[in-house]
Amino acid sequence: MNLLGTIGFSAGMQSKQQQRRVLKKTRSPIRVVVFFLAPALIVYLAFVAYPVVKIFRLCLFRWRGITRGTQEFIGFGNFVKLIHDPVFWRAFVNNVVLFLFVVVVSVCVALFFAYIIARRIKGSMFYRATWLFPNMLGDVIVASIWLFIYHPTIGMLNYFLSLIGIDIGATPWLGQSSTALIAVTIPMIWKFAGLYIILFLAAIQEIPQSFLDAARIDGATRWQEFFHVILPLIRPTIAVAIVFLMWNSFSVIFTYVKLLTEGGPYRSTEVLPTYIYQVGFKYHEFGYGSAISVATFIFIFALAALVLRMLMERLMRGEKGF
Amino acid sequence: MLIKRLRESGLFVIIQILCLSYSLFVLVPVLWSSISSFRSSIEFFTNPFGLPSTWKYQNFVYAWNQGNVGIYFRNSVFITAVCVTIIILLSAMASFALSRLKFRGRITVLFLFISGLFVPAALLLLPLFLMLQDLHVLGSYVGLIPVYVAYSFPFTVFVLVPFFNVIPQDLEEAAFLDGASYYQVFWKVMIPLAKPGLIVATIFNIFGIWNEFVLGYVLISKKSLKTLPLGLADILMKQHYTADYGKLFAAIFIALAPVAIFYVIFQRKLTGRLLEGAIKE
Repeated sequence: MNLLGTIGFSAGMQSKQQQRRVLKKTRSPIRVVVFFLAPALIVYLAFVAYPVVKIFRLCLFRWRGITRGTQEFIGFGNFVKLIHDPVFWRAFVNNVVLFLFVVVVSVCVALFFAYIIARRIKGSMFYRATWLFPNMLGDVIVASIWLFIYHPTIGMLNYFLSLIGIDIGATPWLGQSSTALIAVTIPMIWKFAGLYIILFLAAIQEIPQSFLDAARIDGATRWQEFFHVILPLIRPTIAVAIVFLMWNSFSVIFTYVKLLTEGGPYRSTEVLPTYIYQVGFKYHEFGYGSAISVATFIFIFALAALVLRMLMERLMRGEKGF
Repeated sequence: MLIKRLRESGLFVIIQILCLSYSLFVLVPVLWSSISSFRSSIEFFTNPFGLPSTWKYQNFVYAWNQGNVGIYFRNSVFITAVCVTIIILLSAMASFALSRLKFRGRITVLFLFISGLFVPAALLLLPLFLMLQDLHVLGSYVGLIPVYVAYSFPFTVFVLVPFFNVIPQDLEEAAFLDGASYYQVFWKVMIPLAKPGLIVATIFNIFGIWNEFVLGYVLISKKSLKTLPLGLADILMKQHYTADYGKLFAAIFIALAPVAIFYVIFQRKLTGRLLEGAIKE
């Protein structure tokens, strides 16, 4: 390389100080570290780390009055209340069901479509571009569109069902407990599956052709090829994809539930973030709301600890980003 | 042999039908809502699925002015531009430090940022609300911008650090030998070489901030400060009483169109190698 050659030539006439800085790999000067790191770190500590610490304190208090009311220390009282709160458990179960359903269906759909277009079928560029598109839309836009797809009288879903001969009248998909939770998950799958397809497709195409040829020669069927060769090889990608959904799933779930059902009917779609919002901002019980958050935190952090190690290893290996 | 070929072509047809159906499943809702933004509010009841009998572009004028969508749009552009600029600058500096500088506690700080991936903002609404209230910046951009910036760091740092990691040590050393300072190395060597990563991070953050809802919903209540998702949600929640669908769908379309245009421009980048690079294990 030209650049390196030039610099190699000039390397003979460097000062002693410069030589030491490079060759002995000493620590970087502290003011340099502070200059580059401090702005991000300060904002991050103030607005992410501090609220995390604060919430662990808040959850030990009972609040009276609107937001700035008197606070009374009650220790773990909020957690005792939580264990006996049927709405909390309802929200917890709904949350888990909703998340698992979205993940499992999105991953299965995505694996299927990624596999069938992996062999560069006609139009695969068009399909990729189309399928990824909903992922770029905001949750509010997606929720708005789907609110009208589910509309009992002017909604496309009921119209479509009547077209193919299933006329079940003006079904309020979001308004009846039996269908509301599933109805909330479909827009999320509609949005996320496309991203998964792109990610899995990339991973499948990365598999060396020789692996697949070898499987073919050994007489593997398509089915076996998929489950015994492809699936094990792209498992890390699937794991990362799930983590990325998990990371912002609470915000996503909050948005869809808030806009589509408000947690109703009869709390059949109540989830943890909407319940926290309600307890905090509608009932003004900031202590109890915080206790629900903390309980949720502990639950997800137990899961996250496993994945976190994997991510840290990735960053520290100095592995290539692409 | 013939049977095999027949089976292959049968498979081909089935695959195409499946792919097309899935594409319709994705496209029809988007197209329907786009077309519906030209429908008059009355026609939503008489003719909800066909093409509008008259294309009512007044919906847009009405939504933009009376529906405040114009204000929301401007707010969104402002917030996105300001936040993404700050996020990318500060994250690039921090990622450079975490990847290339040597100092005690480097791993701890990196861990601190990455663990933020598992701190959902939606669970911290209550302490954030109280904190901004104490600082007297609740309901203002002075409060909202740092919050948006702070919650974007974990993902952005996570994307950027590997890009800084792969820049060859030789280049940095060569620059130092030529007498460059750390700041020069950062701007002249690191930033140009990490550009692919910075582009990915910028694109993701633009979409992220443009679409953000939960934090804004709690922290911003003044109509004049709402961004598009907040304003849209506002109109959506009120439509239960007014049923002014024309205005609502025009608002949806105004929110959707920039994303669609941006997507068409950057589609190749997003579906191509860059996205794979950003998230691939």
